[in-house]
Amino acid sequence: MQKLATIARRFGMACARPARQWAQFWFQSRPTTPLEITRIGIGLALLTNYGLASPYVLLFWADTGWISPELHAENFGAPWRHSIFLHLTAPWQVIAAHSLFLFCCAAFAVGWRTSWVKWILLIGQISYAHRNPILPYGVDKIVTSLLLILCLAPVGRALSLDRVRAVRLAKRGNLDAALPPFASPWAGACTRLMQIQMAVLFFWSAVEKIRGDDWWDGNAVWLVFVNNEFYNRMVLDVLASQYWLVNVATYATILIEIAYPFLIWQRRTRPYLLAAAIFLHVQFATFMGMPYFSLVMILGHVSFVRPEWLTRLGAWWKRRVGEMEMIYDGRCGFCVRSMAWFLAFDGLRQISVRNFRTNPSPVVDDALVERALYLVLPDGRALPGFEAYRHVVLRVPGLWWQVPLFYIPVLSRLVGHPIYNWIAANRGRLSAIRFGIPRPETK
Amino acid sequence: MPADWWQTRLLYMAMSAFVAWHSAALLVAPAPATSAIAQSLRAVFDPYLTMLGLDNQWSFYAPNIGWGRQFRYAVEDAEGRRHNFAPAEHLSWYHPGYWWFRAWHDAIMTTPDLYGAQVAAQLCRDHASLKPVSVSLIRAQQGEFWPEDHLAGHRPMDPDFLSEEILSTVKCKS
Repeated sequence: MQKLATIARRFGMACARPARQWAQFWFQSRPTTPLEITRIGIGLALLTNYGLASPYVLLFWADTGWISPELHAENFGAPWRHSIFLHLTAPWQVIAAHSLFLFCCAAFAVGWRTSWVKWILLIGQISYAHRNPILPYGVDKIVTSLLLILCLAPVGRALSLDRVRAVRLAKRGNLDAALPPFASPWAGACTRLMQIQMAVLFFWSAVEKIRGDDWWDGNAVWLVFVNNEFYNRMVLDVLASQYWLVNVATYATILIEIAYPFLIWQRRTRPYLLAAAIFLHVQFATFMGMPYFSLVMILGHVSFVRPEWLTRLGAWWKRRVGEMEMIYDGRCGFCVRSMAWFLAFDGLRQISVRNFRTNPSPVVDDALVERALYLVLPDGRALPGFEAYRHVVLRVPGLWWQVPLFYIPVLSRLVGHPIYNWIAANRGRLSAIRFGIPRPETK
Repeated sequence: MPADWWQTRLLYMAMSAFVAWHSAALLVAPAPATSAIAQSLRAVFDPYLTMLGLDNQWSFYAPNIGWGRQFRYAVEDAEGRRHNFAPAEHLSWYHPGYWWFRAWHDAIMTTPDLYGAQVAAQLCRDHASLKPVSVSLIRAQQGEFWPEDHLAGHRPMDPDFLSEEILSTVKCKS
């Protein structure tokens, strides 16, 4: 019995190290930020791609289009190949499904109800590909692979409306309240899966190229630009007179693709490999007219971006802009609710707040704050009302989506000032409106 | 042992099993069809790979690129005149439609028996104003084109560098 216990203990000790390494490789607690960047990019890329497909939706994916159900059953049917579109018989049903998909793409990009919207996107993406297997090419396959990982990952916890809603909820009681950034071991595992996906993709891509004479002989890049699909007169002018560039570009492509899966994992070499891979895809986008493919690939590479790089970038931005203080009227319910919404978009926490009723500002007189909200800048300047918001939206990344509204030359100020002034003057009345939020019971 | 401990352990094991399974599937999916080991593994992963659209070779422009080809068609009208069309030349490079229609053209050229009649019928309708008698589907195959050809002022799609093959000719219904 004692022998058995010793064997068990030794076995346990022998397994402990690999188990630790396994956990370290897969399940390190990580924030979801890199995955969120991929989410936003994939959402926007899908929205653009399928949005532009809208005029052809019946041609591509309906029973009356290129691939009839009979043709599909005869040539593409397989036990595990399912598509929602095979069950939609009427054209309006296909159009409705397509519209829902587009709506979900937008929701996915902004991170609204991400936890279930992402699954609709995955089902949709697979359904499009399986309904018309002629259409998908490399990029569609990569999108599907990345989407699956994003579906499994706890995305929507940063850089999203879901996060904004959660922060706003916390701030409704107390504007100084803050939610800690989300991080989890499962987010780490999903990031790792995406990294493996990209490494495998590059590895097989390189291996396949090496097998071909076009690549081996160094002529592949010439053949690409001569091909009518990618014909580019300007590029050929350069390459024809300097053919050595063709050889260099061909071998450099293989070199980057073969080096990537091996050197991307090391701390020292990762930045170089990332830069090289992104450079490669920017070339594809520029000279081969493949912006969608290139964007998706770059979004896949984002999984290798270290969270600390993003943290440093955020800290640099915060330092560059400097701290800002918003002075508001804490007695006005509408102002507090608006501030809670506004601050929820400030992921880097660049703005601090001061309720002048309880904590008067040494910079701005109370009488001024009675009339409008004020923003105090690091250099001591104070901007009132609309100008305060205008200043902030350009400097808080979470509010960049409002920049077009606040920076239309002349028009923004022409319309913005009266709107703000009206709201400020009527804030008492607006505070009484609860927008469906139940009034606190009064005794 | 408390229930929480078991729950955490089980969850951890399930997550570990999944990441191992998915990584293995990613590695096996592009493996060559000629490898016996890869094929026996593929049988295990096949439903998972097919259902989720993960069954990919990742062979972008590989192993060879080749010289390219283009789908064209010719409409013969009632007076015996031939009107030539190259639909790909009207597609915009930066619109995704470029790739979708290219893929469709490629499918027509690869398997004209499958799509030829359907495409020709559609083209007869599209060109009804020409009073078409028949439509011929054509594969224009690019020939070798090297730097000296380019420097001599030629283009890869010049007739000297192209060979056309009629894939099928379909009579239009009057």
